[in-house]
Amino acid sequence: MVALRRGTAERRRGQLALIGVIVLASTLIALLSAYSLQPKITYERGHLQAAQLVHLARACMATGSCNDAKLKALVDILSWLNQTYPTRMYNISEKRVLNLLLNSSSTSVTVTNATVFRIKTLQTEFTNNPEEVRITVTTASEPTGRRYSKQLGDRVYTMVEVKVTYTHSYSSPFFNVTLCPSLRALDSVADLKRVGKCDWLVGAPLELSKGPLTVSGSQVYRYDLKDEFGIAVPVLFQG
Amino acid sequence: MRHLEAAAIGLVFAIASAYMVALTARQGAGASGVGAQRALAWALLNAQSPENVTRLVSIALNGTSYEVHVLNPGEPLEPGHSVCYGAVLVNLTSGVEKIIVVCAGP
Repeated sequence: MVALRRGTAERRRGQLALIGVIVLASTLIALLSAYSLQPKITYERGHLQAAQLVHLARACMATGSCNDAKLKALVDILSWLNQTYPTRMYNISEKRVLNLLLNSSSTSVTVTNATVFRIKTLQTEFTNNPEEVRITVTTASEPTGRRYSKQLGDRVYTMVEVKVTYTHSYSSPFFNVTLCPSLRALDSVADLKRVGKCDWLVGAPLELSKGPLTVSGSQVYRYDLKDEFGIAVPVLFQG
Repeated sequence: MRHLEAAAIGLVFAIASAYMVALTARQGAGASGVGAQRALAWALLNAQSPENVTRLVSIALNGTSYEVHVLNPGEPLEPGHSVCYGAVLVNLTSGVEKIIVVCAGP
């Protein structure tokens, strides 16, 4: 009888302890749920800011006469809008337009337009060396040697076939990208065919080409196409 | 007594579940915004016009709930979003300037 009573008393103490634990747990959860959360937000910078500079460089090139003054005007617009909108732009320490003509041989001419930005990233704070975002647009023209006539209405054009390799290369601390943008003719005379990812076969009408121009001592004709971003693509060939 | 214990445990379990659901809902609204930043960067690299950027951002986000705003310079960005990334789209030939903003967060 005594043992039975003792067992009942122990069970009752255990039950009370259990209820105590449950009450304590629910009180803690209730307190936790009332706690106001303060999420810490970190903004990722890099990809977007470099892409923004690529876009500005392309917009400048699309005017057809990009120079340091135009590029500076674009950067000023960006800096002004950066005060209002969350572009979170880096400090741009330098911006330069490089128009280079490379590799002019008897068979091919390569035209390279480049724009360089130097930006102050977080790494610059430690190394003191600004990082570079470089936009390079390359057009390589190589005549195939084929010429043919094309009649449109009552006009006959002499078409010069040129193999064109056209690329956009963007290098930055955050990404390295090469694009092969689409090309389009500004008139309905030129023939345009994509033969590879960045390779095109262009039938350029000699009568609608500018020239002859002197490039690196050679007489060449220039026929302009446009890419999908509105940038002029110079197709150069000998007449 | 056993019925009382079962009822107490059930009650506590129900209360705890309700609190946990409330907590999860509050925390789940947070977003890193990393996806939005990279999506906008990718769209900007491939963009030809503001409409094009909006469509490309939607493709990149692939159903994730972010808001995409196209604003004119000077137009205010609606408050209420904690994580926003913006880009400026310029076309010097047509004189068009647009701001594309991608927002997420509680």
